[in-house]
Amino acid sequence: MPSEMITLQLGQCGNQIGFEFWKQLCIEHGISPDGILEEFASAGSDRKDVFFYQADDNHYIPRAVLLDLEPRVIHTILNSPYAKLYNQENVYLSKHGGGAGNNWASGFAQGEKLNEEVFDIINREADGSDNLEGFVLCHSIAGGTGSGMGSYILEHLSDRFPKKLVQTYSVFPNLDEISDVVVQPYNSLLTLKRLTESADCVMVLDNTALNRIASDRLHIQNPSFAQINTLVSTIMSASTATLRYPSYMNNDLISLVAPLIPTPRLHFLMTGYTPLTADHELNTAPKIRKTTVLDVMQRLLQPKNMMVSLSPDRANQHCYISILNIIQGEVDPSQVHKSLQRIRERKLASFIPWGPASIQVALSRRSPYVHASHKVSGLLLANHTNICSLFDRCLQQFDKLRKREAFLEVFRKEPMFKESLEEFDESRAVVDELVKEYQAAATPDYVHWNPESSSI
Amino acid sequence: MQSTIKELLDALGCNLEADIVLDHLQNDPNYGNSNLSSKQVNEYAQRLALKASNAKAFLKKYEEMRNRNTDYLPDLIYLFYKLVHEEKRLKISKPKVAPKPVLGDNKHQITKEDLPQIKDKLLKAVDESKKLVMKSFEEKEVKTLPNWYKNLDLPNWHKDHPAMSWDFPKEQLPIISSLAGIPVLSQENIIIDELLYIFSGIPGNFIVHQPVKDTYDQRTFLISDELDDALKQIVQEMLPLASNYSIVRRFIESCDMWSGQVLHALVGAIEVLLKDYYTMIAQLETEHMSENLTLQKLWYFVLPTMRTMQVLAAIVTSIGKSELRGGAVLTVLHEKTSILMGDARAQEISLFLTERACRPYLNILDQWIHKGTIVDPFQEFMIEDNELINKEELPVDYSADYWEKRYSVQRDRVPKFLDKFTDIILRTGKYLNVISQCGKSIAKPNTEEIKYSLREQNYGAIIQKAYAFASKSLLELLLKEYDLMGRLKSVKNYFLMSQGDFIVQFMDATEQELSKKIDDIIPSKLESLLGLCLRLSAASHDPYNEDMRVELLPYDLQFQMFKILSIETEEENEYKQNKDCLPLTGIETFSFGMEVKWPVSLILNHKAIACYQMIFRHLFFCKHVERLLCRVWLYNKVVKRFSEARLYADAFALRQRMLSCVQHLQYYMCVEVIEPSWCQLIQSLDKVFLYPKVAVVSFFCFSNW
Repeated sequence: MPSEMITLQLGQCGNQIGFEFWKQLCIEHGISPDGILEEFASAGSDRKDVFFYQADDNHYIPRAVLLDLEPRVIHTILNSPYAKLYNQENVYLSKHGGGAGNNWASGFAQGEKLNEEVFDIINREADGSDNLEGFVLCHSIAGGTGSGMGSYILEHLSDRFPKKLVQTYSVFPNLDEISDVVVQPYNSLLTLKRLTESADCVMVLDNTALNRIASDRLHIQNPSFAQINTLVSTIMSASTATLRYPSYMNNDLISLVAPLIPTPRLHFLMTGYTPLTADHELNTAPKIRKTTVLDVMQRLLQPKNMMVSLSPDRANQHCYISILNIIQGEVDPSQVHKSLQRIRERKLASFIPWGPASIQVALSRRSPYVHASHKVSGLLLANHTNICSLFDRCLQQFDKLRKREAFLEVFRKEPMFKESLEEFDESRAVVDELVKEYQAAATPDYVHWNPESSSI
Repeated sequence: MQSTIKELLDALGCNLEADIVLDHLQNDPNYGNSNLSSKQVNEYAQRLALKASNAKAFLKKYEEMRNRNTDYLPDLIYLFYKLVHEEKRLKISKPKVAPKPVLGDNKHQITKEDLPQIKDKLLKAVDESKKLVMKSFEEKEVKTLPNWYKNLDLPNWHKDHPAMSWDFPKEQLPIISSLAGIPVLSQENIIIDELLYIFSGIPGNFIVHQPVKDTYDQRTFLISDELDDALKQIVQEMLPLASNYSIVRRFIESCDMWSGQVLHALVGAIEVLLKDYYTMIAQLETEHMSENLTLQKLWYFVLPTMRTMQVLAAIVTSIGKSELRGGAVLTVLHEKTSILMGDARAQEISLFLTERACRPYLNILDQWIHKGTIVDPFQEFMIEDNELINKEELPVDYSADYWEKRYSVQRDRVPKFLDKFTDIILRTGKYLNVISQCGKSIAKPNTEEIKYSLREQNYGAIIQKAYAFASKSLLELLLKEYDLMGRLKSVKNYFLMSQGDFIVQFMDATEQELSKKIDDIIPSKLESLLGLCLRLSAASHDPYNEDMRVELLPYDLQFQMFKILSIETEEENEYKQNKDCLPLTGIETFSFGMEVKWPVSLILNHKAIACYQMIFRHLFFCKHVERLLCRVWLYNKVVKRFSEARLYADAFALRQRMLSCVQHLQYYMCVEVIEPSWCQLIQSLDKVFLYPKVAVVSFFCFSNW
């Protein structure tokens, strides 16, 4: 089958997101928790083989690789009803089980150590697919395993599979709260460098915004990880809907991603989803409102529905580089056309001055097995220059710690930082440059940039 | 008509008298029957223009007349063309004859002395051509005669036994007896007796018929000079009855077996009327025997009959003179009936004739619109069964031709009152025919008989009803038994690319092969790759995926479109030739093909598939370009590790512009054009719309471009 995607789940956060994602996919494709096609599921309308393959006994196995350095989350998964779904060979737990101790350097070093075994699994999966399109990496950038080991794998994935797409779902830490992970700014920055240089497309999932959406939109006080992760899995499943329910267009990942990312570095995408309904397990009865295409598309452009919280930047005229709306449900194309016109008239979205940017729309079918309470739902994938404010905040926090030379001894323990802390400065430079490039992208002369004039 | 000829002759620069041409034209047996297409006529006119003294003037005149819709223009042009053509041939075969051009030539000043000579020549040429035309007409007739007709050894009664005729004898009889010296009173008695004979076509002693030059000429009579002048006057008044009777008789006797059912029915109806006529004459004779009849009384009695006979004679003359048959006869009858609106009695007669004459024709029509069969031994019906394809071959053979060509409307056989239903009638029968070809019996709904009436409510309603029934049953048959929907869906999946994953997979698989030059491509390899992709993608659940084929067309889409749209000017021709020189790559020539089985092939025929192919090729090429651009994106992504990555931003912006253009184009075509049209089609199908709309709507998305 063409355009297969292999999912890599790294660390505590990554595995939790992945778990929810596979749960969602199973429901949407009518696959039971042990991988068997449900009786009500009929063949022909969807493509399960992008994310699943079939074993000899025809049960479906996700193309997923589960990696963690500590056993807790993976054990939870393996004790859940979905345990039988996964290929046990693809679950890799570090033998000593000590974890990375929220230390990027430790995660990176362990990744190096386990390199052989991990890439054995990845290679086996890659060989098992006919025409692999790319990898999806789920991780958080703040912890140890997801960020450190994730960074190592990212670097080597792009070396080993230079023509494959590497997409990541990266969870950014909640910056409003004081984290229990004190070295989080270090971890984030070091990971950001790899995301910039090695990933092809980063879906930014900002924990700050996710929490805000959970409490504001879904009215959940103190949302749990599971509830937040449901949000993430909704986005992940919606963004792959056009791959799994093929129609006229956007039937491979590249045709979705390429128009969103005009220049290779500016590949950090933010997402939005509406309408969101809380799970049934929550006591608050979901309010069903009338959805129309215009309504959905307008809501998607509102900052409160974005899964990234951006601080307003008065200094720069930030704008969209590109927008893709994936609209699911009963949609009349003429409505889409009208809505686009309305949005253009009201100038709800401003675009980069140097390119032909506009809202692209992809229409997708919905799973026939999931009852959707709303007629129309939409996912927004947007490349916005203001995403640099997020990186800017990371930089600021990093600088605060770095100035005080705080908590550096845990890094110095690892061989990578034994000699010098150059890596920190390099990473900082890369991220700083990224922020600058994003800021420049908001100006008309971005495409005519030359290093001499900008340095002045 | 004469003026038309004159105008044309003037324009040709030819000094020929219009009357002569008119005469010839009317004597021409082929006249009025020629089925020249307008294209042919145009060609003839063009060629004629070459001969004319002033080509431009002639052409202008011709255009003008054509725009005026001048009657008989095609026939005239054809005749003139024939004349000129003949002249040329004569010149070649007999070079000794003075090689002077018939038509005006600037080099030879035509003097007055030349005129008679030219006229002679033209006449000669006309004669010659007439013979030729006659010959070809005879040949054609022999060809169209059914075989069984030749095998019949029919006695030629009229020739062998001229006395059997109910008309006056052919040869002229002299007045043998003399009335001299007989008193007026006795003369009256004798002449009444004489008249009663004359009325039934028997020559008398004192009044004798004169031979007629032409079949439908008025017959004149010679009356004995010795008859009293007063009596003679009354007799003269009454003689047109005999003359008209003679015309009607001649018409009846000119009908032979080959004349066809319509004429037979007409003759039958006339015979019914004539029976009354004979009865009247017998009654008059009885009166005469009992000596109650005077010439005045007789005159009074036959007066209404005279009118009837006159109407009859007029009708048969117009039919007989132009040698009409089949539907054309009905047209004439219908027109006559309409014209006679003011004359109630005459209209009644005409209506009676029309109604009777219509019966066999309407029976054929009834069979056609209710059963889909044609029983038309004399080729009179408006629809002709060409029987191109044998029934047995149908399921195997591709049958688009069948639908298009098997049944054709013969315009000249359409009675005027059915003119506006022609298309509906043709389709109704065709649909029923298809249903029976599929081996289904047609449950004919109980319908009333089609009857002729001056006002067309009756048959109009029946035809509409039959059409609705036929189209509904065919559509239901197609939808239920032959899964038309499934077919259309599969067309949408492949040709309109709604089965995106299949297309992506297919493009992945065939990329290498299709990037080659057309001559280097191995079609069987593509074929096997297609099969592979069909089995592996979601398309494997489509029951019709077996019917997909790979086609490599020797021209690219642009060329094809140009060919369709072109007006064939010189410049375009040049452009086309240039186009041919470019070697095509596989991507440009590739298209899917689809095997469609009877009877779904009626809808998804060659034309429809070709349209879908054009759409497909366009979409396919867009997809190809999109993939190329995406590949560029993949190659570019490594740039992000370069420190000077932003130097490439200009190039990336350009790539982005192209990609966005292609994707928007695709989005527009797929989502805003194809999908809505598709929904419309499905909706109309759900409502069991009238059948031809299917094809129309499925083309809609194409025409929208």
